[in-house]
Amino acid sequence: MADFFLRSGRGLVTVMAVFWLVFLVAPIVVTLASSFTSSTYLTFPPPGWSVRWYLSAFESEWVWSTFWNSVVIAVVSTAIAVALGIAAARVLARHRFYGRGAFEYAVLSPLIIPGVVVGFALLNVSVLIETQDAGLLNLIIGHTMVTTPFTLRSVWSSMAGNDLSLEEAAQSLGATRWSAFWLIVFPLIVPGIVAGAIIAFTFSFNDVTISAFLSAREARTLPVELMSHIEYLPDPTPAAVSSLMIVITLAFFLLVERTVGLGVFADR
Amino acid sequence: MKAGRFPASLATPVLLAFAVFIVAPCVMLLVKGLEPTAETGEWPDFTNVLGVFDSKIGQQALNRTIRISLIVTAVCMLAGYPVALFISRCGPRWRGLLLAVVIFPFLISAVVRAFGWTVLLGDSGLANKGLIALGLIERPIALVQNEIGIIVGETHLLMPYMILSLLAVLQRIDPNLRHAAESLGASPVSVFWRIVIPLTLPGLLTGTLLVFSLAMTAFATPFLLGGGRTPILTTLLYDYAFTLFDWRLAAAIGIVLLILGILFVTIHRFVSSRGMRSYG
Amino acid sequence: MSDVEVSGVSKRYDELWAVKGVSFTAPAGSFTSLLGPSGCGKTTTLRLIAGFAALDEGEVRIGGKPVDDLPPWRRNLGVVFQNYALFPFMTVFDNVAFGLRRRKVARSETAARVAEAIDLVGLPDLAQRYPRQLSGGQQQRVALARALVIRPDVLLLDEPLSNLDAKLRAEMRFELKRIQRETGVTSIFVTHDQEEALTLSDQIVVMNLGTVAGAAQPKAIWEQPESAYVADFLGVENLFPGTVGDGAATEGTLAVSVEDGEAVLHVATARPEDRTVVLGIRSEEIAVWRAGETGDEADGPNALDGTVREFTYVGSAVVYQVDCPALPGPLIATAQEDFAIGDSVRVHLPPGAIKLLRPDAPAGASDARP
Repeated sequence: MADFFLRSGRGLVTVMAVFWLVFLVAPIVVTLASSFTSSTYLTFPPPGWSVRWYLSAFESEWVWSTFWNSVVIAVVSTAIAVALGIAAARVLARHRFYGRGAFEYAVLSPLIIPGVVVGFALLNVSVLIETQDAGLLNLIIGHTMVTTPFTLRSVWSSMAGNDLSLEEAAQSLGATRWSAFWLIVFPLIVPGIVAGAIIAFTFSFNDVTISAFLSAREARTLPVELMSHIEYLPDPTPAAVSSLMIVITLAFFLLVERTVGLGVFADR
Repeated sequence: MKAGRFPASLATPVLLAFAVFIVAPCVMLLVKGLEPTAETGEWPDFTNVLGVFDSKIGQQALNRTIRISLIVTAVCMLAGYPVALFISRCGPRWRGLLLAVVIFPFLISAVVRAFGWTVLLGDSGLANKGLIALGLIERPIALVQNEIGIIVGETHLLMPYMILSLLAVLQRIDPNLRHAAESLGASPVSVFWRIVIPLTLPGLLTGTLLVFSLAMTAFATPFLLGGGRTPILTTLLYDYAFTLFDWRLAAAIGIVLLILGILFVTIHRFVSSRGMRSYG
Repeated sequence: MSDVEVSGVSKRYDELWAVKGVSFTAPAGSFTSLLGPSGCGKTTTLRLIAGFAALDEGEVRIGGKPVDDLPPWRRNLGVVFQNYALFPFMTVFDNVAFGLRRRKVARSETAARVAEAIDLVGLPDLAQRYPRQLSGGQQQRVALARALVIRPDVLLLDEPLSNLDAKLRAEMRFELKRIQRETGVTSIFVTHDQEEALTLSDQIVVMNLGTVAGAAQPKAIWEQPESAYVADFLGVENLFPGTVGDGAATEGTLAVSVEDGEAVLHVATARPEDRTVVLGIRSEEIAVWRAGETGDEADGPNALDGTVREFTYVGSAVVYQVDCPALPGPLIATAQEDFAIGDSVRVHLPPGAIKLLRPDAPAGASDARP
């Protein structure tokens, strides 16, 4: 009797788990599948297969211009976020000082403050100082601030593994403080930097919330532009663009998985 | 660990960036949101912030936000637990794959996901077709551009947080605790209810807080799946800012959201530090 | 109270045999130790008896009845884990009562039996405390009480003392002995500590690489280990492969020539079945003199010349490493006198103290430990 309950309990857990795992991948699979439709309207499953909407996407001016905007914003903001993240991680991992808790709170605050608030607050300031038309700059600032906590945490956790004695050993062997950092600490935190950079890039490249507030007429990101195209659903071109974004994200995801493992996402 | 001195050369650029681009804008938001409504009023004027809850539209948005967040949290809890349990019982190879299935969707852009859900939940989408085939409905029903769309989208957005919170505690459970209970006469069903569930309560609690707070402040997903007629707090802020151009009210909602964000983090910290202590 | 018969038990993980053909019997009411280094299969054997893992071959009988088809929760065994495995969210009382509640024991009887068990293991009044509020030794006692309160047929202990500090460990050793004697429960105790096994057990089963290397009473296993591996694990420092010569050397002794050395040692023992043996002698049985100081024994047949290579002071004596040209490796000997490095000495290995052991490790007896 207990064995019956045991087996049916296990079975129930399996069925529910599989259902919800399918739920998690469903919109992604559906987007990928419907991008290869041969018809001019979206339906699932598609009546036939073709790559015409990918060709349409590659020929669309809006795709290319906003894609490059997104890449520039993501690359620049990731670079700054990595630099800020390394500095902040070093401070938090190696120094005890009055106000350290406040410092930690400040650099992690973008995780606490809702994205809409960050976006609107920055917009509010840019209007006040009349820089609201410098869309690219505003977007880079916004994305940098929101992604720095990711690079910080990633680098910080890779620093936590190696203790002070390594640096002290290097210094006792004649390395200066700087060369001890570059020769000993830096190589050890490279995985954390890489993981943090990839997460920051992915976040920036895919962000909607901050970008929705800070995109100016001349400087829109691909997701924001895509948003306006989806609202009208004229044809499956957005499906092709969405699929390309999935593929790009998947490439970065696999890069993280292969280089540092999925643990960087799991330990929060 | 060095004690004392403030590491100025490292910390100053970081602090400066956050002071200028995070703290200052938030302060400006406070200033804006507390601006006096009438010409003669004095700063700070809380009329706008209180107005968020007083006006009909504000009240509706607040109620809707809370209602949706509660439903999403409940679904994430009920759905996330079996998923986490299942993954924790898998062998290492499967566990890695399933973990990827859980984590990958939350890196995907909200636009892309919303697009996928629009296709799935639309009038000719798989969901409606399935419901008709099962004989539950006769004609397609609206599943997007309303609260259902928001709930589905946010559940999809936030379930990974719940699963990862639960997995973190599930994988820390000492297998000997299960064995000890078994040797004392507890059947696997009894082990699950009396040992596994109590041991995962801290993870369930942090996951619940996380999901609820993120549901309260989510923007992109409800914006894209909710349509224009079901505003929640965040999308109402956007409407005030870009459609009605009433930035004072937008800022007032911003203040409310800011307070909510800080509140949840404070509770979360308190709960997780207590959780650590009680099972340490 | 039941006996435990383990016969031909094997367990495989992928291609690796964790346990292969293990057999022994723990008589009812006895205290049996499974002794061996980590990875020898002793914990796996215990887990197979408890039912936490399914065996691939063989049979386990408890009280004469085969238990292999019974899940752990129907075997009525008490298990004490290395890390105690106390339920962290339950009080001491609830931890101890857990097994009784699963057995639907009446509330009043539960309270009485829990109190009795807590009293038996010598815990002070801590019933409402949580495990994290207890010291390691107290947690240990709770784990014991929890395992004993269900009146198990067999008590299984998996290195229960290894997480305690040295002083507490010695104290708990006496406590374990007392509790086992008072309850008379058949106990199987897994340990890597030879001293624990020797002091606690009625029977010691020495394990190596998933098999039983020898089983005997503590006194027998100490005085005459079955094999070179068992001797090595029980702390016989000097082990040299050798060959037994024909005929008697003197009245009552055999002449055994040491492999890769010139020494021919006289050993006062019965002739073994096999000529290929390992000679074993404990360091404290060896006598050491300064060269030139001769006596009766120093001129005897088992006296060898040597040079002090290294020494360590251990408090009660000095342990010397002596290079003897006639032996293939250095000799470990204990002495009260002080010698310096490089001193010429003469050592004597009494014929009665040398054991002839079955060589069982292919790579040479002294490297038997995996």
